[in-house]
Amino acid sequence: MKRHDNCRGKGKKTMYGCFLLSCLFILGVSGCDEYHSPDGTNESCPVIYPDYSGVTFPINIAPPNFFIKEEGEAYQTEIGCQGGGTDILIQSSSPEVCISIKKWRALLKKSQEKNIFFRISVRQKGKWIRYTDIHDSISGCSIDPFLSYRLLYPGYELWNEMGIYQRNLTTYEQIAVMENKDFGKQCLNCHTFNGNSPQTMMLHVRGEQGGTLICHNGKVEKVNPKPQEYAHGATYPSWHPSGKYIAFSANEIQQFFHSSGQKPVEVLDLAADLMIYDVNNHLSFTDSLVYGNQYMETFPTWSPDGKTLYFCRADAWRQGVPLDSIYYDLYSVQFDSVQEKLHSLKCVYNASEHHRSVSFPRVSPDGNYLMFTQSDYGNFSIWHSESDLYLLDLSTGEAKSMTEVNSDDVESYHTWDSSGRWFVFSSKRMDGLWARPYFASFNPETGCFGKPFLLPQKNPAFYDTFTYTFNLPELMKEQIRNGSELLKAIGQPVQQAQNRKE
Amino acid sequence: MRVINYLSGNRKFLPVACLSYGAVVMKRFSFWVFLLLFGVYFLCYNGWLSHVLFYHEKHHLFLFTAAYWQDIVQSEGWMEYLANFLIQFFHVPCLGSAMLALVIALVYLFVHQICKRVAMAFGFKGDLFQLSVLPSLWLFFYTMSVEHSLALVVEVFLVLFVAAFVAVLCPKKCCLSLPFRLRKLSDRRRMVVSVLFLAGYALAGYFYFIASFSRGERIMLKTEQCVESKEWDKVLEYTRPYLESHRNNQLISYFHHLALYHTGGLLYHLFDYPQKLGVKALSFPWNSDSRESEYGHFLYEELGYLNEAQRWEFEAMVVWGETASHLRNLARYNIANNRPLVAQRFINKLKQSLFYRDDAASLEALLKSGKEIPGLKNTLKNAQESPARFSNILNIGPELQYICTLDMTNRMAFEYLMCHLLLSNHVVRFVQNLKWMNRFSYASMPPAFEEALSIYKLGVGEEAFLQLGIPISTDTEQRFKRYCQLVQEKKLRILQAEFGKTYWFYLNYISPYGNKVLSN
Repeated sequence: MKRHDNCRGKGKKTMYGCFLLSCLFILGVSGCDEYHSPDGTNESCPVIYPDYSGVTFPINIAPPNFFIKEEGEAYQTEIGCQGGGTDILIQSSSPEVCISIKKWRALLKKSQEKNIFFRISVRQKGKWIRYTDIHDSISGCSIDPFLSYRLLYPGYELWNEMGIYQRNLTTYEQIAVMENKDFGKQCLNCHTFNGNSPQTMMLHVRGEQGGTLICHNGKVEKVNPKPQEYAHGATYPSWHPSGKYIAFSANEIQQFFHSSGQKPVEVLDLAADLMIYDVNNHLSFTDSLVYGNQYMETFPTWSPDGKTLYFCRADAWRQGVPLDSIYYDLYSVQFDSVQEKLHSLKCVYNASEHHRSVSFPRVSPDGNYLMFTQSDYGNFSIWHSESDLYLLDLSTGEAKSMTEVNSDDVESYHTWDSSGRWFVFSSKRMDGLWARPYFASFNPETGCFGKPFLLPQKNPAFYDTFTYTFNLPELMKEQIRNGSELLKAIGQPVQQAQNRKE
Repeated sequence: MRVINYLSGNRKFLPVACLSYGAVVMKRFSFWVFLLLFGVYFLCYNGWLSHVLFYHEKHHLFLFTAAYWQDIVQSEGWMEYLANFLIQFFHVPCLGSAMLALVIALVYLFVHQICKRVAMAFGFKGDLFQLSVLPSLWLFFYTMSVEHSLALVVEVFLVLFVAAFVAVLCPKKCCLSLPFRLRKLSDRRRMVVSVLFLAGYALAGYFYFIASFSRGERIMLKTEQCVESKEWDKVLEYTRPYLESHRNNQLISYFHHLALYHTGGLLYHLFDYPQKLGVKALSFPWNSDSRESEYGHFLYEELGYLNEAQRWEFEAMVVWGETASHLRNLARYNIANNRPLVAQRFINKLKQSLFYRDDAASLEALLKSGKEIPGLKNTLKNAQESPARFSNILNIGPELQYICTLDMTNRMAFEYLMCHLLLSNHVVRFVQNLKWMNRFSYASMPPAFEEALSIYKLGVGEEAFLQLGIPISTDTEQRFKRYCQLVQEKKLRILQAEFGKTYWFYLNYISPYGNKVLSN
């Protein structure tokens, strides 16, 4: 009886075991990917969108999801460290390749300072065709983990909803810093940080409750840096590295609309000067070197040591002067922070002699290079398809076109990351209308750049239907955490700056 | 006692079938009321209030994407999302009318259900006074104004749906007993009372509808709808009665002149109505006005001035959002202006909607084939771009002159230019540009042109005028003499009756720029 029972028990166990195995098999078949060996090869690299081939990624970037732009019935993507096996296997009947953040991070960790491969096979007419591997480099240097930008329609004069947002570059998370729907749809612009740190930042609000919001020493205040004696309001800013001053240009800006052709609008200054605002004492001052009717000065930017102020300068506009004959040169002026005086004006790069125009100068964190945008005329390069990025070696005074990163379309606003090994810039290369943030690596030792790559999105089709433009992309070392205080400050009365008496 | 006998007597002889009929009618009374409300609402939305549906549909676009859902729910809320879902069906007016009518009529049924349960709780048999009609009627009147968001309608509908559902689940027993006798009314009497109240609501509703119905709003929106579909004769059907009622509205005048041009009557009927707005009756100068931003593109598109049409349309999209008409037009303009990648973005958006997928597909096909967009011309396609030329966005006059210089076949630009010069008192420049008239085949010289010529002749003298080589008909000469005589005699009433539709009268008495001819 006992034996019989045992037998019966064994039989039951075997049955359960078989059942479990069957379940596991079914689960395995349905849940796991079956690797598809290639039936043939294609010697060309597959086309992927966005183009993430041959780029250098920072070690902390979010997975660059993409589409395989090759016709096929099914797709297989293997991703791994060069010289090793496949770490990530993605199979799908759709050409969309979405990479798991966890697996991607593990891959980046082990591929630091190495190359990774994307091995793509496509089933075409029943056969798996393997394309030539796409190779990317993984830099050991991380990029500043947050990117802030303003999102708005690339419109002209009217606006409706807009906001300043911050994107975590290590994930896909985007958080609103401020949205104008929270304060009567007024305009907000020119978010600027000191040394990539949101601890010291500012932005303008335009409208009924207009003013400049300055976040400094843990406080947020609303000010108007323009003393009553000055002709125009504070516009384009740059923080002095000490955090004590902000250099502003004060511009009279006008829009003009092309009657024909593909360039829709021209944004030009009819007057512009520079001024410096003392953040602690609410005083503004300037100097005849950068203020007057003879020239238009704009886009100030400080050197990292705070001793030099770079800016763009053009001859003042006069009635009847054709708007496409206004050219800006790159100038510098020395700043004595003890005397709070500007002196020694110097032309650093004479673009006008080649009938070209400079805008958006930005000095690298080590102070050795200055990146700027160059276009055919004017200073609002975001509407100029010919505008390109240039790099000026401040030690030699030589400027070169950044051919590795430039495209046939607009390259414009740019920011260095705090290490100086990465930078972000606006480019309209995707379609010619919407600015998107692109990143590229920079080697300060060689002065060379990596191929730029587009800000990765969770949905690789994101940019196909996203009709807002990424305005003023700024890299930040940390997240902005005082959005609510900034919002509260909008309701505050404006602290009016006074003109500093000599 | 008599009454009781009478009642009992009645009861005694009342046929059983009749009794049950009354009961049956009362039982289904709410259903008949619902059907009646649905029918009335449907007819209104499909007729007198069709412009409301057009307006909502024009200003909303529902997309079947997670991004759209996330965006709308985050920024405007769930109700707006659901309202937008409903609004997309307004693209097919009958379907849209039926859906909106159904939603609002169902509100009646829900309230009726709730009232019934509440009435039962108080010992009544039902909603005797048909109070449940009121919320539905209120919602209907609420939707009459285009300014009102339909999110509220959806919200009320959902709340009442849940409340009605809960009411149905509640027990039917009577909780309270009331002393008065209403609850003891017979079904027939209840029906009579209900019908009387309903008739009262209908009457009050009718007068409220008449009082709050905005004819002007309807005319403007219906005109806009006809302009969009290029039904120019219909446009005139709407604008003529409006202008004949001596009202002045820039939008109506603007549409009226567009339709006049397309029906061949612009030069001949320009002064049929007093042009108190001057050149503003022809076009919208750029005033940075969000409301006006919706209309500027019509004229520029017809003129073939696509950069300006694109600019107006983009500004409108910024203000009013990504609606189907903005996306479609921007796609068209960018295809015509050789910016296919920009056009593709707008097409991609349209593809995500239910009713504009086909439009998107046909635009995409055009984009890929490289063919021209039907009915869309790019007049300044071959214009010289260097040195850069910028549009005058405040005054269309120089732009019309520019188009006429570049495109000798642009009849619309010519007619608008001439009208612009006449309306702005620029008689000298009008005469200078008259030479371009030969480019087009006009059956006769428009009377307003001859009238302007006679003023010019008066100013420059016979000899200088003869050098022009443009004759003025004897009839016009005589009429001008008569006009001058009446002016001298200060017989204003006769003057207006006889010459109210002439350029002379406009220049002397109506022009907002004074009664002097401008030479520069």
